Amino acid sequence: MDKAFIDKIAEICEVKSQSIELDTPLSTLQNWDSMATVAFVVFVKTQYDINLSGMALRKANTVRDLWTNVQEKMEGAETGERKA
Amino acid sequence: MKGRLEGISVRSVACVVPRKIFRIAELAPEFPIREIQKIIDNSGIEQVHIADERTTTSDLCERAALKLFRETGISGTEMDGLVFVSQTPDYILPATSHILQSKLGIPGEAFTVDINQGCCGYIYALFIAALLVSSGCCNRVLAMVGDTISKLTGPKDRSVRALMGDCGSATIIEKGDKSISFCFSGDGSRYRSLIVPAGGSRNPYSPESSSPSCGENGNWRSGTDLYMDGLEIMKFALNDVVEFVAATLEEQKIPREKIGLYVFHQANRFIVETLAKLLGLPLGNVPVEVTDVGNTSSASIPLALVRTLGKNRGKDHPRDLTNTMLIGFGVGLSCGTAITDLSETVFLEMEEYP
Repeated sequence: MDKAFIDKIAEICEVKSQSIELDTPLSTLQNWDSMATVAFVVFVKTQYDINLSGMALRKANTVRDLWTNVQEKMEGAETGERKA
Repeated sequence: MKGRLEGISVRSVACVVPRKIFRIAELAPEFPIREIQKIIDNSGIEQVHIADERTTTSDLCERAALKLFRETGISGTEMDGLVFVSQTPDYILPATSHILQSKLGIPGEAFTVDINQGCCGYIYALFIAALLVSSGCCNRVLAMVGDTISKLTGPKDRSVRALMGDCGSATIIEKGDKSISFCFSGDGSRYRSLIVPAGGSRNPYSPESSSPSCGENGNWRSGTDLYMDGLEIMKFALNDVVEFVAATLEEQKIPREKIGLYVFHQANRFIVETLAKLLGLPLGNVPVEVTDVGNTSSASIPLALVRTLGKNRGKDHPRDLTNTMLIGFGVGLSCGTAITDLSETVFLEMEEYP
Protein backbone atom coordinates (compact mmCIF):
# COMPACT_ATOMS: atom_id res chain seq x y z
CA MET A 1 0.00 0.00 0.00
CA ASP A 2 1.07 3.51 -0.82
CA LYS A 3 2.20 5.26 2.35
CA ALA A 4 0.95 8.58 1.00
CA PHE A 5 -2.49 7.00 0.95
CA ILE A 6 -2.60 6.14 4.67
CA ASP A 7 -0.93 9.44 5.57
CA LYS A 8 -3.57 11.35 3.66
CA ILE A 9 -6.48 9.53 5.27
CA ALA A 10 -4.89 10.22 8.66
CA GLU A 11 -4.47 13.88 7.73
CA ILE A 12 -8.06 14.17 6.52
CA CYS A 13 -9.35 12.52 9.71
CA GLU A 14 -6.93 14.48 11.89
CA VAL A 15 -5.39 11.40 13.53
CA LYS A 16 -1.87 9.91 13.59
CA SER A 17 -0.92 7.63 10.67
CA GLN A 18 0.07 4.87 13.11
CA SER A 19 -3.50 4.70 14.40
CA ILE A 20 -4.83 3.70 10.98
CA GLU A 21 -4.64 0.17 9.61
CA LEU A 22 -6.08 -1.45 6.53
CA ASP A 23 -8.99 -2.95 8.41
CA THR A 24 -9.83 0.15 10.39
CA PRO A 25 -13.59 0.63 9.91
CA LEU A 26 -14.31 4.08 8.53
CA SER A 27 -17.17 4.34 11.03
CA THR A 28 -14.63 4.43 13.88
CA LEU A 29 -12.85 7.44 12.39
CA GLN A 30 -14.68 10.29 14.02
CA ASN A 31 -13.84 12.83 11.34
CA TRP A 32 -14.66 10.65 8.34
CA ASP A 33 -17.64 12.81 7.37
CA SER A 34 -19.03 14.37 4.19
CA MET A 35 -16.26 16.96 4.08
CA ALA A 36 -13.65 14.23 4.51
CA THR A 37 -15.04 12.25 1.57
CA VAL A 38 -14.85 15.38 -0.60
CA ALA A 39 -11.23 15.89 0.48
CA PHE A 40 -10.54 12.21 -0.26
CA VAL A 41 -12.02 12.45 -3.78
CA VAL A 42 -9.81 15.48 -4.47
CA PHE A 43 -6.76 13.64 -3.13
CA VAL A 44 -7.16 10.56 -5.37
CA LYS A 45 -7.81 12.82 -8.37
CA THR A 46 -4.70 14.95 -7.79
CA GLN A 47 -2.44 12.10 -6.62
CA TYR A 48 -3.47 9.24 -8.92
CA ASP A 49 -5.64 10.99 -11.59
CA ILE A 50 -8.56 8.76 -10.69
CA ASN A 51 -12.28 9.57 -10.70
CA LEU A 52 -14.00 7.63 -7.91
CA SER A 53 -17.74 7.09 -8.07
CA GLY A 54 -19.97 8.28 -5.25
CA MET A 55 -21.40 4.76 -5.04
CA ALA A 56 -17.98 3.18 -4.47
CA LEU A 57 -17.35 5.65 -1.65
CA ARG A 58 -20.70 5.03 0.01
CA LYS A 59 -20.13 1.26 -0.14
CA ALA A 60 -16.66 1.40 1.41
CA ASN A 61 -16.61 0.19 5.03
CA THR A 62 -12.88 0.09 5.75
CA VAL A 63 -9.67 1.81 4.69
CA ARG A 64 -8.92 -1.35 2.70
CA ASP A 65 -12.13 -0.87 0.68
CA LEU A 66 -11.01 2.63 -0.25
CA TRP A 67 -7.56 1.39 -1.29
CA THR A 68 -9.10 -1.46 -3.33
CA ASN A 69 -11.26 1.06 -5.19
CA VAL A 70 -8.23 3.15 -6.04
CA GLN A 71 -6.20 0.10 -7.14
CA GLU A 72 -8.99 -1.20 -9.36
CA LYS A 73 -9.26 2.18 -11.04
CA MET A 74 -5.47 2.37 -11.50
CA GLU A 75 -5.42 -1.07 -13.14
CA GLY A 76 -8.35 0.02 -15.31
CA ALA A 77 -6.33 3.07 -16.37
CA GLU A 78 -3.42 0.86 -17.45
CA THR A 79 -5.70 -1.15 -19.70
CA GLY A 80 -7.24 2.02 -21.08
CA GLU A 81 -10.52 1.92 -19.20
CA ARG A 82 -9.97 4.97 -17.07
CA LYS A 83 -13.15 6.73 -18.13
CA ALA A 84 -15.39 3.82 -17.11
CA MET B 1 -21.69 24.92 -28.35
CA LYS B 2 -18.74 27.10 -29.23
CA GLY B 3 -18.36 30.30 -31.18
CA ARG B 4 -16.54 33.58 -31.62
CA LEU B 5 -18.25 36.96 -31.82
CA GLU B 6 -16.59 40.05 -33.29
CA GLY B 7 -17.08 43.79 -32.98
CA ILE B 8 -17.78 44.07 -29.28
CA SER B 9 -16.20 45.57 -26.20
CA VAL B 10 -16.78 45.00 -22.49
CA ARG B 11 -16.82 48.62 -21.35
CA SER B 12 -17.26 48.54 -17.60
CA VAL B 13 -18.20 46.29 -14.65
CA ALA B 14 -19.66 47.18 -11.22
CA CYS B 15 -20.77 45.07 -8.25
CA VAL B 16 -22.91 45.84 -5.22
CA VAL B 17 -23.25 43.63 -2.12
CA PRO B 18 -25.70 44.05 0.77
CA ARG B 19 -24.24 45.85 3.77
CA LYS B 20 -25.42 43.20 6.25
CA ILE B 21 -22.76 40.66 7.15
CA PHE B 22 -23.11 37.06 8.32
CA ARG B 23 -19.99 35.62 9.93
CA ILE B 24 -19.66 31.89 9.32
CA ALA B 25 -18.52 31.42 12.94
CA GLU B 26 -22.07 32.44 13.93
CA LEU B 27 -23.18 28.95 12.88
CA ALA B 28 -21.33 27.72 15.96
CA PRO B 29 -24.18 27.41 18.47
CA GLU B 30 -26.03 25.10 16.06
CA PHE B 31 -22.95 23.07 15.10
CA PRO B 32 -19.68 22.16 16.88
CA ILE B 33 -17.22 25.07 16.68
CA ARG B 34 -14.42 22.70 15.62
CA GLU B 35 -16.45 21.59 12.65
CA ILE B 36 -17.33 25.15 11.63
CA GLN B 37 -13.64 26.09 11.85
CA LYS B 38 -12.78 23.16 9.59
CA ILE B 39 -15.31 24.36 7.01
CA ILE B 40 -13.85 27.88 7.17
CA ASP B 41 -10.28 26.53 6.79
CA ASN B 42 -11.26 24.53 3.71
CA SER B 43 -13.54 27.04 2.01
CA GLY B 44 -11.47 30.11 2.87
CA ILE B 45 -14.77 31.89 3.55
CA GLU B 46 -14.97 33.82 6.83
CA GLN B 47 -18.00 35.97 6.17
CA VAL B 48 -20.64 36.69 3.53
CA HIS B 49 -22.89 39.65 2.76
CA ILE B 50 -26.60 38.84 2.94
CA ALA B 51 -29.62 40.84 1.82
CA ASP B 52 -32.16 42.05 4.38
CA GLU B 53 -35.81 41.13 3.91
CA ARG B 54 -36.61 44.15 1.75
CA THR B 55 -33.64 43.92 -0.61
CA THR B 56 -33.88 41.76 -3.73
CA THR B 57 -31.34 40.77 -6.36
CA SER B 58 -32.78 43.36 -8.74
CA ASP B 59 -32.23 46.09 -6.12
CA LEU B 60 -28.53 45.17 -5.93
CA CYS B 61 -28.24 45.01 -9.73
CA GLU B 62 -30.04 48.34 -10.08
CA ARG B 63 -27.51 49.96 -7.69
CA ALA B 64 -24.65 48.42 -9.66
CA ALA B 65 -26.13 49.81 -12.91
CA LEU B 66 -26.58 53.28 -11.40
CA LYS B 67 -22.95 53.20 -10.26
CA LEU B 68 -21.91 52.33 -13.82
CA PHE B 69 -24.02 55.17 -15.21
CA ARG B 70 -22.51 57.63 -12.71
CA GLU B 71 -18.92 56.68 -13.37
CA THR B 72 -19.02 56.16 -17.14
CA GLY B 73 -21.35 59.05 -17.91
CA ILE B 74 -23.62 56.75 -19.93
CA SER B 75 -27.32 56.88 -19.10
CA GLY B 76 -30.10 54.32 -19.31
CA THR B 77 -31.51 56.07 -22.38
CA GLU B 78 -28.40 54.98 -24.30
CA MET B 79 -29.11 51.26 -23.80
CA ASP B 80 -31.02 49.25 -26.37
CA GLY B 81 -30.71 45.88 -24.67
CA LEU B 82 -31.01 44.53 -21.12
CA VAL B 83 -30.15 41.02 -19.95
CA PHE B 84 -30.99 39.95 -16.40
CA VAL B 85 -29.56 36.64 -15.18
CA SER B 86 -30.62 35.31 -11.79
CA GLN B 87 -32.18 32.43 -9.90
CA THR B 88 -33.79 34.86 -7.49
CA PRO B 89 -36.06 37.09 -9.59
CA ASP B 90 -38.50 39.54 -7.98
CA TYR B 91 -41.60 37.58 -9.05
CA ILE B 92 -42.55 34.31 -10.71
CA LEU B 93 -43.92 36.64 -13.37
CA PRO B 94 -43.39 39.16 -14.91
CA ALA B 95 -39.73 38.94 -15.87
CA THR B 96 -37.58 41.19 -13.67
CA SER B 97 -35.85 42.65 -16.75
CA HIS B 98 -39.06 44.55 -17.59
CA ILE B 99 -39.10 46.15 -14.16
CA LEU B 100 -35.41 47.06 -14.38
CA GLN B 101 -35.91 48.55 -17.85
CA SER B 102 -38.43 51.00 -16.47
CA LYS B 103 -36.55 51.76 -13.24
CA LEU B 104 -33.29 52.51 -15.06
CA GLY B 105 -34.86 54.74 -17.71
CA ILE B 106 -34.02 52.33 -20.53
CA PRO B 107 -36.25 52.97 -23.57
CA GLY B 108 -39.26 50.73 -24.14
CA GLU B 109 -37.87 49.82 -27.57
CA ALA B 110 -34.95 48.03 -25.93
CA PHE B 111 -34.82 44.23 -26.03
CA THR B 112 -35.11 42.83 -22.50
CA VAL B 113 -34.81 39.24 -21.31
CA ASP B 114 -34.53 37.18 -18.09
CA ILE B 115 -32.35 34.09 -17.96
CA ASN B 116 -32.47 31.52 -15.16
CA GLN B 117 -28.86 30.55 -14.54
CA GLY B 118 -26.52 30.32 -11.57
CA CYS B 119 -22.79 29.88 -11.25
CA CYS B 120 -22.43 29.90 -15.05
CA GLY B 121 -24.78 32.88 -15.38
CA TYR B 122 -22.20 35.56 -16.11
CA ILE B 123 -20.97 33.66 -19.16
CA TYR B 124 -24.59 33.31 -20.39
CA ALA B 125 -25.16 37.04 -19.87
CA LEU B 126 -21.99 37.97 -21.78
CA PHE B 127 -22.93 35.59 -24.58
CA ILE B 128 -26.45 36.97 -25.10
CA ALA B 129 -25.26 40.57 -24.77
CA ALA B 130 -22.35 40.00 -27.19
CA LEU B 131 -24.71 38.23 -29.63
CA LEU B 132 -27.11 41.19 -29.58
CA VAL B 133 -24.29 43.65 -30.26
CA SER B 134 -22.28 41.54 -32.69
CA SER B 135 -25.38 40.80 -34.79
CA GLY B 136 -26.09 44.50 -35.14
CA CYS B 137 -29.41 44.25 -33.29
CA CYS B 138 -28.16 46.40 -30.42
CA ASN B 139 -25.52 49.06 -29.92
CA ARG B 140 -25.15 48.83 -26.17
CA VAL B 141 -26.45 46.20 -23.77
CA LEU B 142 -26.67 46.29 -19.99
CA ALA B 143 -26.09 42.82 -18.52
CA MET B 144 -27.20 42.49 -14.92
CA VAL B 145 -26.25 39.30 -13.14
CA GLY B 146 -26.74 38.42 -9.50
CA ASP B 147 -28.35 36.34 -6.79
CA THR B 148 -29.59 36.55 -3.23
CA ILE B 149 -29.20 32.86 -2.43
CA SER B 150 -29.36 33.67 1.31
CA LYS B 151 -33.13 33.80 0.76
CA LEU B 152 -33.06 30.16 -0.33
CA THR B 153 -30.84 28.66 2.37
CA GLY B 154 -32.20 26.85 5.43
CA PRO B 155 -31.03 28.72 8.55
CA LYS B 156 -29.70 25.46 9.98
CA ASP B 157 -28.09 24.10 6.81
CA ARG B 158 -24.33 24.58 7.11
CA SER B 159 -23.68 22.86 3.74
CA VAL B 160 -24.82 26.03 1.95
CA ARG B 161 -25.07 28.70 4.66
CA ALA B 162 -21.35 28.53 5.32
CA LEU B 163 -20.62 29.33 1.67
CA MET B 164 -23.27 31.41 -0.08
CA GLY B 165 -23.26 35.22 -0.16
CA ASP B 166 -25.41 37.74 -2.07
CA CYS B 167 -24.33 40.16 -4.80
CA GLY B 168 -25.63 42.02 -7.84
CA SER B 169 -23.52 43.09 -10.81
CA ALA B 170 -23.89 45.22 -13.93
CA THR B 171 -21.76 45.12 -17.09
CA ILE B 172 -21.93 47.26 -20.22
CA ILE B 173 -21.24 45.46 -23.51
CA GLU B 174 -21.14 47.70 -26.59
CA LYS B 175 -19.87 47.95 -30.14
CA GLY B 176 -16.10 47.84 -30.26
CA ASP B 177 -13.03 46.33 -31.86
CA LYS B 178 -12.68 43.24 -29.66
CA SER B 179 -13.76 39.67 -30.11
CA ILE B 180 -15.01 37.16 -27.56
CA SER B 181 -14.94 33.36 -27.75
CA PHE B 182 -17.45 31.17 -25.95
CA CYS B 183 -17.75 27.47 -25.13
CA PHE B 184 -20.70 25.89 -23.36
CA SER B 185 -21.41 22.39 -22.13
CA GLY B 186 -23.91 20.86 -19.76
CA ASP B 187 -25.35 17.68 -18.30
CA GLY B 188 -29.02 18.01 -17.40
CA SER B 189 -29.18 14.42 -16.14
CA ARG B 190 -27.50 15.58 -12.93
CA TYR B 191 -29.91 18.47 -12.25
CA ARG B 192 -30.82 17.06 -8.83
CA SER B 193 -27.37 17.63 -7.30
CA LEU B 194 -27.99 21.39 -7.00
CA ILE B 195 -31.67 22.20 -6.69
CA VAL B 196 -34.50 24.01 -4.92
CA PRO B 197 -36.96 21.12 -5.29
CA ALA B 198 -40.24 22.82 -4.37
CA GLY B 199 -41.98 26.08 -5.14
CA GLY B 200 -42.14 25.68 -8.93
CA SER B 201 -44.75 23.81 -10.97
CA ARG B 202 -43.29 20.31 -10.47
CA ASN B 203 -43.60 20.41 -6.68
CA PRO B 204 -45.75 23.41 -5.85
CA TYR B 205 -45.39 25.46 -2.70
CA SER B 206 -47.38 24.03 0.22
CA PRO B 207 -47.18 24.19 4.00
CA GLU B 208 -45.53 20.73 3.87
CA SER B 209 -43.01 21.57 1.18
CA SER B 210 -41.94 24.70 3.04
CA SER B 211 -41.54 23.16 6.50
CA PRO B 212 -37.96 22.18 7.33
CA SER B 213 -36.88 18.71 8.33
CA CYS B 214 -33.53 17.27 9.36
CA GLY B 215 -31.74 15.81 6.33
CA GLU B 216 -28.37 14.09 5.94
CA ASN B 217 -25.49 15.24 8.13
CA GLY B 218 -27.80 17.06 10.52
CA ASN B 219 -28.64 19.89 8.14
CA TRP B 220 -32.20 21.23 8.30
CA ARG B 221 -33.92 22.35 5.13
CA SER B 222 -37.35 22.47 3.49
CA GLY B 223 -38.36 21.71 -0.10
CA THR B 224 -38.23 25.39 -0.93
CA ASP B 225 -34.62 25.65 0.33
CA LEU B 226 -31.48 25.09 -1.72
CA TYR B 227 -30.06 21.57 -1.65
CA MET B 228 -26.49 20.84 -2.67
CA ASP B 229 -24.87 17.42 -2.97
CA GLY B 230 -21.35 18.59 -2.14
CA LEU B 231 -19.64 15.38 -3.22
CA GLU B 232 -21.37 15.27 -6.62
CA ILE B 233 -20.59 18.95 -7.25
CA MET B 234 -16.95 18.41 -6.31
CA LYS B 235 -16.75 15.45 -8.69
CA PHE B 236 -18.34 17.56 -11.43
CA ALA B 237 -15.68 20.24 -10.86
CA LEU B 238 -12.76 17.79 -10.73
CA ASN B 239 -13.76 15.71 -13.73
CA ASP B 240 -16.13 17.53 -16.08
CA VAL B 241 -14.96 21.10 -15.53
CA VAL B 242 -11.28 20.17 -15.74
CA GLU B 243 -11.81 18.22 -18.97
CA PHE B 244 -13.97 20.97 -20.44
CA VAL B 245 -11.52 23.78 -19.68
CA ALA B 246 -8.53 21.73 -20.87
CA ALA B 247 -10.33 20.94 -24.14
CA THR B 248 -11.34 24.59 -24.56
CA LEU B 249 -7.75 25.78 -24.13
CA GLU B 250 -6.52 23.22 -26.61
CA GLU B 251 -9.16 24.16 -29.16
CA GLN B 252 -8.52 27.88 -28.88
CA LYS B 253 -4.81 27.13 -29.41
CA ILE B 254 -3.80 29.54 -26.68
CA PRO B 255 -0.90 28.38 -24.51
CA ARG B 256 -1.77 28.48 -20.80
CA GLU B 257 0.83 31.17 -20.04
CA LYS B 258 -0.62 33.50 -22.70
CA ILE B 259 -3.74 33.95 -20.61
CA GLY B 260 -2.97 36.66 -18.08
CA LEU B 261 -5.96 36.01 -15.84
CA TYR B 262 -8.21 33.01 -15.26
CA VAL B 263 -11.33 33.97 -13.32
CA PHE B 264 -13.19 30.89 -12.14
CA HIS B 265 -16.61 30.88 -10.56
CA GLN B 266 -15.63 31.45 -6.92
CA ALA B 267 -17.22 28.32 -5.47
CA ASN B 268 -14.73 28.30 -2.59
CA ARG B 269 -10.95 28.45 -2.20
CA PHE B 270 -10.47 24.69 -2.12
CA ILE B 271 -12.30 24.13 -5.43
CA VAL B 272 -10.68 27.05 -7.29
CA GLU B 273 -7.16 26.11 -6.15
CA THR B 274 -7.72 22.44 -6.97
CA LEU B 275 -8.97 23.32 -10.47
CA ALA B 276 -5.94 25.55 -11.06
CA LYS B 277 -3.62 22.77 -9.90
CA LEU B 278 -5.25 20.04 -12.00
CA LEU B 279 -5.21 22.27 -15.08
CA GLY B 280 -1.59 23.27 -14.54
CA LEU B 281 -2.36 26.99 -14.39
CA PRO B 282 0.02 29.48 -12.78
CA LEU B 283 -1.59 30.16 -9.35
CA GLY B 284 -0.69 33.85 -9.56
CA ASN B 285 -3.03 34.20 -12.54
CA VAL B 286 -5.94 32.52 -10.76
CA PRO B 287 -7.50 34.91 -8.23
CA VAL B 288 -9.41 33.57 -5.24
CA GLU B 289 -11.75 36.21 -3.83
CA VAL B 290 -13.96 34.51 -1.27
CA THR B 291 -12.72 35.38 2.24
CA ASP B 292 -15.18 38.17 3.00
CA VAL B 293 -17.81 37.69 0.29
CA GLY B 294 -18.21 33.90 -0.06
CA ASN B 295 -19.65 32.14 -3.09
CA THR B 296 -21.94 34.72 -4.71
CA SER B 297 -23.37 32.35 -7.32
CA SER B 298 -23.92 34.05 -10.70
CA ALA B 299 -22.18 37.26 -9.55
CA SER B 300 -18.97 35.60 -8.38
CA ILE B 301 -17.03 36.14 -11.63
CA PRO B 302 -17.76 39.89 -11.98
CA LEU B 303 -17.20 40.27 -8.23
CA ALA B 304 -13.82 38.54 -8.47
CA LEU B 305 -13.00 40.80 -11.44
CA VAL B 306 -13.74 44.04 -9.60
CA ARG B 307 -12.02 42.84 -6.45
CA THR B 308 -8.91 41.82 -8.37
CA LEU B 309 -8.83 44.73 -10.82
CA GLY B 310 -10.95 47.48 -9.20
CA LYS B 311 -9.53 51.01 -9.12
CA ASN B 312 -7.21 50.79 -6.14
CA ARG B 313 -6.20 47.17 -6.54
CA GLY B 314 -5.13 46.83 -10.15
CA LYS B 315 -2.28 49.34 -9.85
CA ASP B 316 -0.10 47.31 -7.48
CA HIS B 317 -0.25 44.21 -9.65
CA PRO B 318 -0.50 45.22 -13.29
CA ARG B 319 -1.80 42.30 -15.33
CA ASP B 320 -1.96 41.54 -19.00
CA LEU B 321 -5.68 41.30 -19.71
CA THR B 322 -5.52 40.98 -23.50
CA ASN B 323 -6.43 37.33 -23.04
CA THR B 324 -8.67 36.90 -20.01
CA MET B 325 -10.53 33.66 -19.46
CA LEU B 326 -13.75 33.52 -17.45
CA ILE B 327 -14.97 30.09 -16.34
CA GLY B 328 -18.43 29.40 -14.93
CA PHE B 329 -19.68 26.02 -13.68
CA GLY B 330 -22.44 24.72 -11.47
CA VAL B 331 -26.22 24.43 -11.37
CA GLY B 332 -27.76 22.62 -14.34
CA LEU B 333 -25.21 21.12 -14.29
CA SER B 334 -23.50 23.52 -16.67
CA CYS B 335 -20.12 24.79 -17.74
CA GLY B 336 -19.23 27.84 -19.80
CA THR B 337 -16.12 29.82 -20.70
CA ALA B 338 -15.47 33.17 -22.30
CA ILE B 339 -12.09 34.41 -23.55
CA THR B 340 -11.78 38.08 -24.40
CA ASP B 341 -9.66 41.21 -24.14
CA LEU B 342 -10.48 43.15 -20.97
CA SER B 343 -7.44 45.47 -21.10
CA GLU B 344 -9.60 48.54 -21.76
CA THR B 345 -12.46 47.56 -19.45
CA VAL B 346 -13.08 49.78 -16.42
CA PHE B 347 -13.60 47.87 -13.17
CA LEU B 348 -15.29 49.85 -10.41
CA GLU B 349 -14.77 49.28 -6.70
CA MET B 350 -17.28 47.03 -4.95
CA GLU B 351 -19.97 49.00 -3.13
CA GLU B 352 -22.33 48.15 -0.26
CA TYR B 353 -26.07 48.79 -0.16
CA PRO B 354 -27.97 50.30 1.56
